[in-house]
Amino acid sequence: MPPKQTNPANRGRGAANKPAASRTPQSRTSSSGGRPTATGKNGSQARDREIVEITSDTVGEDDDVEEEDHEEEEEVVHSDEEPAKTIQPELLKALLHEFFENENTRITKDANQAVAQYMDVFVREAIARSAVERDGPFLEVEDLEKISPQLLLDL
Amino acid sequence: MADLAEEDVRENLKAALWYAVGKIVDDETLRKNRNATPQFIGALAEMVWQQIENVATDLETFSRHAGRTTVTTDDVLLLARRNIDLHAMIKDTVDKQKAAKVKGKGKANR
Repeated sequence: MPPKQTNPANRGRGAANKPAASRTPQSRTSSSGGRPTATGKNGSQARDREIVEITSDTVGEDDDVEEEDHEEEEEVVHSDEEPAKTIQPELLKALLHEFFENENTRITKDANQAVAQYMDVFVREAIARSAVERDGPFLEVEDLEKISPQLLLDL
Repeated sequence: MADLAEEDVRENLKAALWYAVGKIVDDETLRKNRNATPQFIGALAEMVWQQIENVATDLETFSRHAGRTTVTTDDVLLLARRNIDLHAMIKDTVDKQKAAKVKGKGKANR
């Protein structure tokens, strides 16, 4: 299914780049190049027709630009979530409260954020030191075993 | 029953932490053009879990020592007292947070 979705998009861009070229040869070339495993001729033709219909909806360059804008918007949303690549402060708060011995112990938002940074450094330091330890591509548990004593003393 | 629920909470927290650590590992290894075994991620998550436990008890003790029941940024700075660079990093963000707060208050007063 995904290839079917991406193909029309590629074609849409191609059509936008070369508006003079007729659509049919383009769809032929990409169906032979991009999808060599297409089933019988009838099937591929039907699919081509389908795709042409789809592209004709999104041929205009404006449409393409709009699409890209949407993508960018999505990316912006993702980059908003980028801090989620650290341990989320909410999760850390829950963890800390889990380990506090006294139920009445509270933590300020700023302090929680600072601990989040601390733990982020901890994790990234562990990975970086393990990466130094290991020559091959895959980081293994034994690398972590080698670096953990010093890491725990350092942080 | 209460014990069981608590056990469940821990289980969920551990799963969430595992996931978070996995994401950071993916992020870092991608940048270094490396890869990590699932066992590595699991072991690291376990280590982070232990470290958070240590940190939590330390912070609680620090705040109690200062006669507070609320953990503040001062306690976190004390946590990083042995590593000058880390201390500087955290102090930097704490100071930025404070500056942002003052700014926000100034705007609110206007």
